[in-house]
Amino acid sequence: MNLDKFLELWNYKDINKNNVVKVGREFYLVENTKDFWDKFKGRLNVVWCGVYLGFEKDFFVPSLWLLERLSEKVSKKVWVNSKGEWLFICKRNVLSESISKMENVENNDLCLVVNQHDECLGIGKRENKVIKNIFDIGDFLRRERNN
Amino acid sequence: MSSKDFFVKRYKQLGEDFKEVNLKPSLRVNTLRISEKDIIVRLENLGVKLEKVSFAKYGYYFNSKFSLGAISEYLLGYFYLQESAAQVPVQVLDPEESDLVLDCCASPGGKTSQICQWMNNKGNVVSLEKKQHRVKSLKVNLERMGCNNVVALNMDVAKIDKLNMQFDKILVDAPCSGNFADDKQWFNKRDIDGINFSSKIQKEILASAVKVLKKDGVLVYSTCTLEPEENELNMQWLLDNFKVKLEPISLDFGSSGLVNVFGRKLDKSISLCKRFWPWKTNTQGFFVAKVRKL
Repeated sequence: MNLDKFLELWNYKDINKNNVVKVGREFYLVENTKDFWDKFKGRLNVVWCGVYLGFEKDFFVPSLWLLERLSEKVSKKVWVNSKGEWLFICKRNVLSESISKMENVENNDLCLVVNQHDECLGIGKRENKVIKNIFDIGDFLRRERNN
Repeated sequence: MSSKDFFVKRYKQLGEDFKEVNLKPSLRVNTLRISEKDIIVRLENLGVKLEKVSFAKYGYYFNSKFSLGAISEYLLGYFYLQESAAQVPVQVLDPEESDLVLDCCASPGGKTSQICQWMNNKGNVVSLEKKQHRVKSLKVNLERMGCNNVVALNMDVAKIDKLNMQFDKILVDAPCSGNFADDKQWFNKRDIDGINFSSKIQKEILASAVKVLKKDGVLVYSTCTLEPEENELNMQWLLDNFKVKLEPISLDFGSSGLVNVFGRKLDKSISLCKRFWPWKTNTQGFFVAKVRKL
């Protein structure tokens, strides 16, 4: 899945696509780094340029920045308690006893998983009483460890 | 003579009595992502004991019964686990919102992210990392810490001319031979040949960096080693070969740079540099210099 399809999935329209560039499988918003991108692209090995949006694989993996922007707009959310938070960032699913609140999430819906501080921890999918872990912010550590 | 005896004797010749140290772990609050006040409350509620680092603007020593490197607050980029002395170079560089800054040896990104923090994600930072296998760590940390004004390149600073740019401020946190304070096996792994080799690489990096520094621009050079060949002697070489001067560092901590190294008298201005002897500062061994291009 690429960035466009991911943003459509959440009906998110606040990114100016004219300022989005692709570096390998990764997407960046270059609003404040456009001059550098124009100067370096194709000539130097750019590995990061401005605001990182995420990378594409089977499912688009959003950046922390993009998750936070989504969280400001998306209404489908599940709030988890501290135990559920810990399990979720360790790639586990959220069980019903860890859910403290749920808004606008029907069965089979994708939703944002949020902690008690209203901080977005990742993306889940409701499967009856369980929120299946699709992506969580613990992915940073796992990516770094796989380095 | 053992390797340890060799180095301890050198420190003695530099006027210091070697002592073992136990470092206190420390972190830097990332004010790009959260206020200092809020993260202190969050961590203390988790049972983490914090103590302000006197010389580092956003630095705290911590004592925790669990790893801070896996909790949500860490993953959300609210702090960076960074040794206290390592927080000093960016503080000395003091990048501002309008600056164009170069970080010559960027991975794993602690200092690049600190530069972004000082600049409030304004201006621009160009970060270079020569080694491909270290790029992933850099990117993970840039994302986590919320760095939005960075352009990172997988390239050697020796090829910096290709950028065709001049920078207001440059950080050279140079690869170095390290120190014993955070590596118990350090003495067994190091010898004078390795130190001289590091010194050679550092000079090459400095030469490349000074060329792309604007006139009147500031370069901060730092290492985490105590060895003068990689510190004061490199500064003497820089003064001898480029139109630069050393400037005072506003930091009421650490010792002055050495101006007499194994009988060789150096330029007096090298005393303006700062040197952190672990047994005096309870930090890792560290050296920092502030250079202005004339």
